[in-house]
Amino acid sequence: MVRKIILLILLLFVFGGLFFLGVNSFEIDHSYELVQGKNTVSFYGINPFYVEDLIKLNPDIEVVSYGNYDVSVGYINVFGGVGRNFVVSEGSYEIIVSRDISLILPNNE
Amino acid sequence: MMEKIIGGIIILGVLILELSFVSSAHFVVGRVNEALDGTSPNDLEIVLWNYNNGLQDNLTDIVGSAGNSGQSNLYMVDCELLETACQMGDIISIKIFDNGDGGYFNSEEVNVTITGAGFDLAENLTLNSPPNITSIFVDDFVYLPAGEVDLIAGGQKLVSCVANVTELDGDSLQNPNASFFASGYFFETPDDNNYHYLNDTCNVDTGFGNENESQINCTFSLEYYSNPGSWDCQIVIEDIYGAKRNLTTNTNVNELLAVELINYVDYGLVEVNNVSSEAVLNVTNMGNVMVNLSLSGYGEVPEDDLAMKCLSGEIPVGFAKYNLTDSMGGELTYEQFEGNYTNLTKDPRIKELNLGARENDLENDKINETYWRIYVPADVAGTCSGAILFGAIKAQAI
Repeated sequence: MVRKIILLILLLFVFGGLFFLGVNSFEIDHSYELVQGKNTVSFYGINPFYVEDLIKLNPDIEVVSYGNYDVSVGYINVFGGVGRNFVVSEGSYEIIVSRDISLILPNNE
Repeated sequence: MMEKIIGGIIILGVLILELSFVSSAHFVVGRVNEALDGTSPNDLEIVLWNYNNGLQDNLTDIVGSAGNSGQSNLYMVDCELLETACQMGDIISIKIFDNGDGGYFNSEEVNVTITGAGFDLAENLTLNSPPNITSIFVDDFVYLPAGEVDLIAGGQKLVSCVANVTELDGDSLQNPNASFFASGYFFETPDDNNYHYLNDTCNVDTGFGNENESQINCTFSLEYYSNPGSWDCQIVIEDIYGAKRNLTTNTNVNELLAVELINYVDYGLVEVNNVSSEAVLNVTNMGNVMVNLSLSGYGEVPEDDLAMKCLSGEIPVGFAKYNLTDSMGGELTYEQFEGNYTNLTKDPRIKELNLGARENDLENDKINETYWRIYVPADVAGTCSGAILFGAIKAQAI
């Protein structure tokens, strides 16, 4: 009975958190379905790649960014690419896309 | 089985916690064009703020490859990092601000409205071109010889400092001002008629030249006691963005040797075989250098060896005497007169006075009294008249 209550509380915590963050897409395998607008994506178990390469493979990406509090690092798909061509590795990123897409990752067949 | 489910959920929870460190960003991107004079905007600082919240809550970026954009002429700022994060519908203002170099690097201001798109592109900015002073000229209104200012004894001389300005952006010019100052002083030195004049109401003639050209005309009334030597005229002008430029040119203020005296000396009624009472004659420096005096006299015509020609008889030149420093009041015997005064001569004699140029702007502080007496010999009667010739000679500075 106690275990069921704990399980219920954890489930509430997890799904409540998901609802609170407004996450549009959330994947832990290598299949990333992104919807038009802002997506928070967590990459795990991937080979690192440059954001520019990600955008070349996914031209519908408008912005890729990460950061927290007072620092924001981003790369914008305009004027041939504006911003630091940072390395995308394991972690969470905000990806804004102009339409629904299935994200293709470089070097991650 | 239940333990595995709980473990999986805990891992999922940790993942969600990590997600909370992915900040939401909304970038504003824009391009800054080179100034019309070719100045690059790269490495200059751009400032972004919420139009409604004011400039105190702002973010900055460096234009070009050294900034967030990593691209020449571009900037990129995440407006969600403002203290009050930007939201859809907010108006964001952007401009390049002065970097401290007299407002040289400025731009107009552009506004962009935050949309629901992934980022917002601001209208292009163009780096401001400061006004360019292409030439400057200073002289008095006597153009020959050029590059020399000849002062007027005891008066004021108008000096004109003129600059031609090109404003490539076509902006209005503002705050034209100029200083005219002697060597060793500076634009900012407080005014003093001896060495510094400021004109902050210069005239801007926008009808001059083509549509991007103007002429600035600044005049100064130079007092007669302005220091001789090299003087600089510096004109400063700024455009509506406060971008300042200045240019300096040089001229020479010539020495002016001049003294002022009253028209005549009246010795009064003097009995024959008597020494007159002392007449005081003020000598005022009306130039800009220290002066000594050259003194001579005549009765009727130069070099006639007389001090005065009378209705009946003559007074020899040596009977008129002076003392340039000390007064002796009261009546004097001839011997006292001889002993304390110097003879006037028919030929000019240079006498040390060391009367400096005026220094006080409020009143003339360079006036020296000179003291004169005359001896009337026995065979003279009636009214007498003669001339004393004063010459100003430059004295060496003490």
